[in-house]
Amino acid sequence: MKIKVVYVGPIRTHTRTAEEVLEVAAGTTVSGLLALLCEHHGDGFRDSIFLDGGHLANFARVLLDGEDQYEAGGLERNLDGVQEVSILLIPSMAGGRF
Amino acid sequence: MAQVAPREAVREDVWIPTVCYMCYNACSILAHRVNGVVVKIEGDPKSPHNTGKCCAKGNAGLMSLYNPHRITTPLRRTNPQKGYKVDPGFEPISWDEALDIVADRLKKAREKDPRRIMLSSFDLHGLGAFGESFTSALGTHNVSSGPAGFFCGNGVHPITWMNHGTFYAEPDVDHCKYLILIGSQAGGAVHLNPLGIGARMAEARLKGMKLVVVDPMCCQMASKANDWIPIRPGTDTAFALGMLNVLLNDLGIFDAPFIKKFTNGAYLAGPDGKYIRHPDSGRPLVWDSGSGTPKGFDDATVVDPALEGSYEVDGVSCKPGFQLLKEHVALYPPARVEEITTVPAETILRIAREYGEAASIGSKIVIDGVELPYRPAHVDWSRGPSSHAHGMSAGVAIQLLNTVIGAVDVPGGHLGISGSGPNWAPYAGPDGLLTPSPDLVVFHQPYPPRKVKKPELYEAPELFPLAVYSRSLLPENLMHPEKYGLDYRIEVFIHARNNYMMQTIHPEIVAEAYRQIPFIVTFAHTMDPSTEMADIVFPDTHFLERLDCFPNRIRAFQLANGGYWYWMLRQPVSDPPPGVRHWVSVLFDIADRVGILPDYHRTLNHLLRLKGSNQLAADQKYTFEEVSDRWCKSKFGSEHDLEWFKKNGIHTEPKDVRHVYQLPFLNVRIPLYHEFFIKAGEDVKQVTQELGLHDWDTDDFEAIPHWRPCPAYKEKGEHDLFLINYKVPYHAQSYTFENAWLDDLTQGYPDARSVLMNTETARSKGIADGDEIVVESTNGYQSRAVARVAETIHPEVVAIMGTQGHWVDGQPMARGKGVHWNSMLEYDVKRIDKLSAALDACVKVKIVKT
Ligand code: SF4
Repeated sequence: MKIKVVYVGPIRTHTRTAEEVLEVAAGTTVSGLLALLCEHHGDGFRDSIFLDGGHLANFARVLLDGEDQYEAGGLERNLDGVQEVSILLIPSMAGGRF
Repeated sequence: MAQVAPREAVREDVWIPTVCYMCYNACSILAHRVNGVVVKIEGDPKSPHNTGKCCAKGNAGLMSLYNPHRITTPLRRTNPQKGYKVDPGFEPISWDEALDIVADRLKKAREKDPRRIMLSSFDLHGLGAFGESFTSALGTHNVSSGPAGFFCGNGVHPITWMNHGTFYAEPDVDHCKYLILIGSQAGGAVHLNPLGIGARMAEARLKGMKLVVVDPMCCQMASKANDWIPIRPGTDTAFALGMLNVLLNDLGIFDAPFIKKFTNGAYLAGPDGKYIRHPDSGRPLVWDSGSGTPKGFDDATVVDPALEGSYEVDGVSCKPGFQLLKEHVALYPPARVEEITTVPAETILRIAREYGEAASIGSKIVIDGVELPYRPAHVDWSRGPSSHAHGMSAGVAIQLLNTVIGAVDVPGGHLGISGSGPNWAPYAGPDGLLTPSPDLVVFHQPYPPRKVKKPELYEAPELFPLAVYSRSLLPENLMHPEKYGLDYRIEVFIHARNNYMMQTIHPEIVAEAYRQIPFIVTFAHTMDPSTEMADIVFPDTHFLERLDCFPNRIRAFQLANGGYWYWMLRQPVSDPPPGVRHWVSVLFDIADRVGILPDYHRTLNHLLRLKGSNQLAADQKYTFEEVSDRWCKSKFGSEHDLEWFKKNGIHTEPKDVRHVYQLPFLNVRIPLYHEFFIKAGEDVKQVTQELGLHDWDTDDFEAIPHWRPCPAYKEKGEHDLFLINYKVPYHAQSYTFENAWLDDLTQGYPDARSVLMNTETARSKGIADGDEIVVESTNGYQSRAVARVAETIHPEVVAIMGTQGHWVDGQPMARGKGVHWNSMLEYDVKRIDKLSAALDACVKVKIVKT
């Protein structure tokens, strides 16, 4: 299946593109997609979104059709039916979602 | 005969709900406006936050609104020379011209490398998601909250993130019977949420709560305490470890069931200090006394995890973290702690005993029908212990005093602010340790640990994996980027509501750092020394002219135990002077001119949780009012739109007791043994060695802290007194000194402009109360001052209040008054805490009578 991946913020330093369309296997999960993207875009990309030990950093946000993956089923949610995945890097400043 | 002007007829007489911003505490206020003029400010009794109270600063807010020296037009620098006390030669220009210049510089910097753009602001109420979205859309992570992060909170916030899953914690004074404040003014008018806590602390004191204040000077809170314990600056770690020694080893007072269930105190650690892990699952092991075998910490068959003793697992000898803690604190017997801290051994014994007994370990309480553990004793600490070369170790040691008695997020204990809520909560991260809800995180967090690597950012957070911010590195990196492996330069620096020149280190050094930046944009309300360094200045609004949704950000400016959740609106109660705009609203115009509006909107949609028809379309323009209205409606439904908030000022919702006292309801553990510090230290060592930073000290990266002396302890000779800085309730940061009413208050209090000295110390130097003196720091900076002599300060210490000594013409009321404490500080990377990035505020001075 095809998935559009949109990159927002400094993550583009590593992707060198604002968006791309990927062909992924049916049943691919959010984690699976991130692993694929790490392979494509290299260590800089990986280090930008994952903490030491492979934990997704809080400042890296993955949106599934605009909805945060934390609210949309988490990293093990499969992407069937999702049209667009956005990956946002939010600078660590003083806002947060509240 | 003299003519008396006829009194103007009253056309308007209204009280408008809004939110104070004379300090960051976001108190609800009512502004009384008569015929378009604000004539009075009072606390809003409807708000649980400050329950109708308003401090002197808040009352005086209208005087800065009508400050005749406000900036009212964009300005462009004409003098290319930038420096300390150098006239920038500003000339007025139009908004259009100023916006075009700024957009053009941003576009050019962005084309080369977006990281060349940096934004710094301490606008904690207004910026938030707007700043994060703006810089994210620009493509830079070079963001900062500015000067406060040089000293303040560095040794507090990492600890509260690890233990409460949030930014800050406060005393549960409603249920506490024994409160120790170490370098903290909790309950006073210069702390977080002071008016709400202060009133309740006063009630608690009347009901018999005992208050002990450990502080080098008899500060505001010490003056109200049962016990003031003067301490040598920078020795709080030793004091806390000494207290722990008495509790654990002498008295045997600790909450074993709590430690077993809610901490990692039972996890086994080997000779290298690291966990012994299960060979297959990698999970840390505990020793199950029930079966006499090692098991994974979360193995459901564990009967009783051992806290004490020595064990062997697969031929490796190991001990539970709690056992290691007991052995470690035995290195701090009262006599040794007295030597380090000057606190008498018998005082340490007495306070530890009183504290342990007051904790009532094992007791329960029923609140709102829910039975909870009851621990009516705890410790709160703040900037005092933090602003030292080993400041975070102090925070870790002090927190352990709360942890061992189980006084964490339970009645009577230390309460995290909004760690849990209706749809968020900390969760068990790696090794079962508490990890904050992703929704709350606003700065870096210490756990799970971040990757250590060569710095990419100008505050080098990559070298501080356990810190929440590393603001103190900015001047150093601007001046010496190559030392830290930074291969680009900051070209455009945007700052607002920040004053690095006054609030960090000596302004000559700050000016040198600023000179490395080709283009500086500042949003300012009045002229200050940092604004004088700008190339373009935009006139910003006063808080009584601003619109800010929900300035009482939930992670900090809410009472943990106020009974309610609440969200306020700051609304304009006065029109800004023509040409003056709220700086956050200007970011939209800049985003549009730079061509990043779609990404700006996309990120705002996410961070503000704008839903459905309230989402911002990628390429459409909106006014700031429209965006604010959509935010209100998305958050609370269409009936709670911006108009509703303008009328009502505040929305409240009852708070569940499980969100006030979260820990009993979570399946998480807090760190008693900071094992992950060890690996973080190894990583920092490796990366700093690779960078050639050979004297980067990683000794503090240890699972249980030691006390280590600050560099100032090595100073001998004529510079024989520690210099400290203290606060008074009627000033915050440096801008309140340029307020007529607050200036008046300061004049009436002789200590405020003086240098405080202990009576005996002064006598030994031939100095009497009121004598003119010269204070000289080890960095060579000298200042004339008047000595104020009293017994209310430690004999080895002198003290200066606040951030005074203003020098620019645009602040005529404050100019030339008081001593500029920050100029006395030593700025050297060796004096930066490698755990928290706090700049050591521990300096020695020489005092001479003139
Ligand atoms: S504590 Fe701060 S926010 Fe509250 S009234 Fe005083 S100055 Fe205003």
